[in-house]
Amino acid sequence: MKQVGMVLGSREAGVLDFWVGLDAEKNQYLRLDDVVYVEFRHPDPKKGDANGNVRYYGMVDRVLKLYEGAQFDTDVFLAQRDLLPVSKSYVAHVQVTRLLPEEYLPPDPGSPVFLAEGESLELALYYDNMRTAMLPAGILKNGEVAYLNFEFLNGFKGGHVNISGVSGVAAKTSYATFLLHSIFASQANREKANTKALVFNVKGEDLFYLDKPNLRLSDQERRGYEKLGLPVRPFQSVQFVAPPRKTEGDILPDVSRLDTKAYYWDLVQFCREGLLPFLFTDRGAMSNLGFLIDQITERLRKLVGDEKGGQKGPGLLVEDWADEIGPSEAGITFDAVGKMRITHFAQLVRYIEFQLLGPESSEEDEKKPKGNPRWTARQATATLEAFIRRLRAAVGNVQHLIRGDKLGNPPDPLRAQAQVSVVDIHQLPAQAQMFVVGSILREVFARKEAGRQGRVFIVLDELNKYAPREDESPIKDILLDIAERGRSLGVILIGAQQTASEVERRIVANAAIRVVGRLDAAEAERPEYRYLPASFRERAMILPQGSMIVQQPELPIPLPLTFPFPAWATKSEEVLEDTSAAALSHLID
Amino acid sequence: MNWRLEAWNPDYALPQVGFEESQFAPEVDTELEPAWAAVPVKECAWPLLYFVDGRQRIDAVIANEHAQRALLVTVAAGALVRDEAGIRLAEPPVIRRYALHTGGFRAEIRVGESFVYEPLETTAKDLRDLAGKVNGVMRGLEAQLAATLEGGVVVVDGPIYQGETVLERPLLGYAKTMWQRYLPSEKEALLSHLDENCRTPVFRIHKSQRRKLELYSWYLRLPINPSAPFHVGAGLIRMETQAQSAAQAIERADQMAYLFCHLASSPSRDPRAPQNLIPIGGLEAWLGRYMGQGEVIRRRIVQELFR
Repeated sequence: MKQVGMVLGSREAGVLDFWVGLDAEKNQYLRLDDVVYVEFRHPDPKKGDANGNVRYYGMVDRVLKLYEGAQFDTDVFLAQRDLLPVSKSYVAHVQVTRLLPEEYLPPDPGSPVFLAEGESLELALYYDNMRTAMLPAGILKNGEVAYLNFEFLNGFKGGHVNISGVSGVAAKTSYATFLLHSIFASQANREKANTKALVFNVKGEDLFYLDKPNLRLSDQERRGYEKLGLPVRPFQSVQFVAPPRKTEGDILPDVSRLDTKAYYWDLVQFCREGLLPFLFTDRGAMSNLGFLIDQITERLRKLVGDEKGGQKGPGLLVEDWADEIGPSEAGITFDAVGKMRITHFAQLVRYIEFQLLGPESSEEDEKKPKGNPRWTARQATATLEAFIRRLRAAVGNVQHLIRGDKLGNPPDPLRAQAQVSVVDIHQLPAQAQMFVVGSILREVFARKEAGRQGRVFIVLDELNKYAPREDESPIKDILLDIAERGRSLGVILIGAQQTASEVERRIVANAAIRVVGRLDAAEAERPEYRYLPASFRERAMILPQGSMIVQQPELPIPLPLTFPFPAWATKSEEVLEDTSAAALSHLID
Repeated sequence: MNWRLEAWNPDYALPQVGFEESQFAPEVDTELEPAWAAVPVKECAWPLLYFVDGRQRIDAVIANEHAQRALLVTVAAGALVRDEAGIRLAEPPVIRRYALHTGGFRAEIRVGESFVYEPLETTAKDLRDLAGKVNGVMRGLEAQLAATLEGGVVVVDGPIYQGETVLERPLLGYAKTMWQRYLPSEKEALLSHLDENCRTPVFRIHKSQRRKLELYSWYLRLPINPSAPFHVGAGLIRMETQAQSAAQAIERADQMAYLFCHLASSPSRDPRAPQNLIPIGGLEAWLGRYMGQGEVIRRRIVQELFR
């Protein structure tokens, strides 16, 4: 028990916070984030602990020094010239985290304050409640490990993580991957074999080296991992998938890493799984359009039939395209029994256009609707045309992702052998990104709803794009579903964004664990961050890279922590190449 | 308990007036330095310095059953030391509480557990006169404290107290207010055109009935910034010391004049600027803390009476 100071009498000492005076002559000091406790006698000792005392644990959130009684700002110059005697005061403000026993008494001025170490530190930070669910989340300023209660992450008591911070400085992605590493390596997760992760790569090829050791990892960083009880190694089991290049010929992934597989959907999958809505991100703008989209999605699903007896793909066979010009212009071929074979997304768009607006060759009365009433859902021609216009605009963005020339190979993080699936979307146009993220999340969620075991952690940056506060979109619906129901199904979202204020409120609110890196000054003032005490909000503006503020439900105050430099490479220059013969022969094979 | 409070707060009833030196004509010797002309301050090294000062406060006026009055006073004296290590308290301040009376109060006055006012009998013709005696009590305390300091020049606030007669100790007193005239008129003319950072030549004040000390003295005009709004006498102080010889006194005058010009406070921070030196101002604030808040003490006294 090291006494570090005593409760001040010149400032109010309360139950939830108090001030500590530090005696410089005894070399007492406290830093921001130090964890302390104060012990004082209960007026009725029977209600105190075994010794009749009460202990308040807390964390230092402000430290101040000043010349006591100095009236003028210029006193400091006089003191410096040894003209004015001054006494320096050094005080720290403590935010109480825990009261043992729970007796709400203000501490007496003059009560001794001790540094919380070992067991008392664990009590202060509620580690005793976590028991076997202590997930290493970083290192506190005092060098001790900061833990998260894994039960608030894995869906048992709570789920989802939300990370906010300025791009480039806050290291949101690094922290998300560090958390994944901790989840896959820590004792807290007892179902590692049943745990999967789906990571969307949205910036550069940053996440394409997750399985490569980091060349620049210093010994000090290694010791950080050891302190955390985590292995110093890259991710062990990762698969990488990327969209195909837009070039003709073989389907090749559009990234530099060689063992990446290309992902895409075939037309039959597109229709059967009802992926059409994910091409329309502004559905809410026109309710009629939304209705039409649902109708057409349903028609397409009928067209391909179910998985057993329906079409096999990759192309789509249709027989009711009774237009004379359209099909031939679109380059349609016929199969053996005379059905038309649609092998390209652009062709599908023309087919839908025919169903909605009728044959191009028609010269009948312009005012009479010409579309197929089973498809048009009684919508006005203007709505039908608006739909077609949007669909046509999508062709260039997604035709390489929705193909009719090869059987589809969409990413399937749940069925994959690898624990972690990295899905690249960084080079895709926004519409295609929406389509990919929406389609995959829908698929994953549907599988979990159907009762698939285990947990999947989904890392998605730029949540503000996928689930904006204002607009409606099908992908926002999926994300909301995950946020609201996902934790019980084992679908855990580790979402990140620059500004939580621009993300759908319910998605942020449902995250049990909230993380803040460096924040923009204006952003830090928004109500989304009110869960942080004011001093933390101010600090969030100056947080250096690698420092985070983590809030978890059990702890009444957030934990400021640092996390070690990634043990895996985050860019090609950092890759520690394995040039052993075995590794090379593996590459050649 | 056989004493009760006077109704008026002593701050109102007894405005403190200090007549530091009353009218008398001392015998002075002004021929110690070659010419009677201003001496500009010369740069010197800083010696080991002590500053001694005191504070006083009348906490309450009380009366006993015979309508005899006593003043409950708190006096404090403290010392600062300035050496290479900086400036700080030399000793913990001395705090004394007295029940000052002219008779009738034999027993100490206890207020709660911690405050005890010792009876101290003196002579005075009325209350105001009695209040004036507090100053003497404080000066005595300062003198006691000054006697314990060794190895440096001791600067005391006010003229050198009668009790201090130790010649070996370099003791320096200074008067901030000019109630007393020491110089003959023709010599005094120099004061009205003394520039800032200049002192008069040293003169000797002979022992007299009133002051039983042989003293060397000089005037110094402290710098005051801005100087425009102040009259010529505004920055004037008179310093005095005891010395073995005139030469020693002149040497000390040069040294201390230089130091004092550096220690002068500014009108923006002290209403008694520039004469109330910066360290003295700091020491006074410090003593105030050790004396405790007057309001709190008055309340304690009232609480005691309610028991």
